[in-house]
Amino acid sequence: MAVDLVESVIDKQQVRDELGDEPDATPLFTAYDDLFKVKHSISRFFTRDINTSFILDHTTNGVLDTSTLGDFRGANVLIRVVNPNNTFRELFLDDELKDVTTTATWNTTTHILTFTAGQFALSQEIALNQESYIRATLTAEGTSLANLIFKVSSNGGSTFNIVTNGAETVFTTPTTAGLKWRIEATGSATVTRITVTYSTV
Amino acid sequence: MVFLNQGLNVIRDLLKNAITTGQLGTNGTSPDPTQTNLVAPTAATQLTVTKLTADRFISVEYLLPSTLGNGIEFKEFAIRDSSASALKRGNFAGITKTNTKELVMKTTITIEQ
Repeated sequence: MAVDLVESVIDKQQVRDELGDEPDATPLFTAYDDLFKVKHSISRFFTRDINTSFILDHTTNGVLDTSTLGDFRGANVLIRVVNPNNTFRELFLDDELKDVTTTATWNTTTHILTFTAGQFALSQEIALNQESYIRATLTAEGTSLANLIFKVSSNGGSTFNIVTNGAETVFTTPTTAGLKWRIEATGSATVTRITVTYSTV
Repeated sequence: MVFLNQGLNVIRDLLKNAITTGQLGTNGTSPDPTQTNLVAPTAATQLTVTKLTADRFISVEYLLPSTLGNGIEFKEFAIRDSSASALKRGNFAGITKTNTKELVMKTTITIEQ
């Protein structure tokens, strides 16, 4: 026991020696936010007619003379668009969902949607799953957002509700034709992220 | 301190290289992160996918040809790695496949700050 106590005292002295005097300055610790997120985003389903293309082992298109060598398949027809947790996000990493009529600059290198007065941006369907979407909330991030008019459609673009950034809108004439967003500019502005949450109730 | 975009793209490439196939199934229940597979996978639909990358972005394209899956109503999909583990599962309103059409699925993964 005595030996243990002596060794304990010696140990404490060694610890003091190694630590040195009481510090006269309080150390500061900085927390760094270096999180990153892996997110799965939109999934889109298309059908494509094979038309008269010859296809080996096909019950009807596998007969030459009836079918034709070469690719005679039709264009992709969009039939479903689904998002995790009914939340769509546009980060301008690609322009797959950019409608061809868009006049604003949708830059997939800088990942910025840039507007001047009079320009607009329109999306393709961002949700389409044989459902009528009753409510949606569009939230945009960027600069000079006061120069932008935000709109959301729940009938495939036939009519749009004008919405306040970050506020929920309720649709009175939704159909199963899907959700689209549209932004119109009254002055210069940029958008770096669009989030649209939606529900069927 | 932040992850630089090129650091995030390292994560992107790890994921991209892991993804090999896609598959459809017939159960439409909502996905849950604890799941390890499609709920009701259709074996014949497990096919190699095409992958594209851009800055912090992966696009995966799956094609079910006109000769496969006909008469089946699909309600779920997954993308898989080389050991056939499901990495991502999603569900959708049923799509009944016919032999006059191909079914194309495009899905995306983003790496964000």
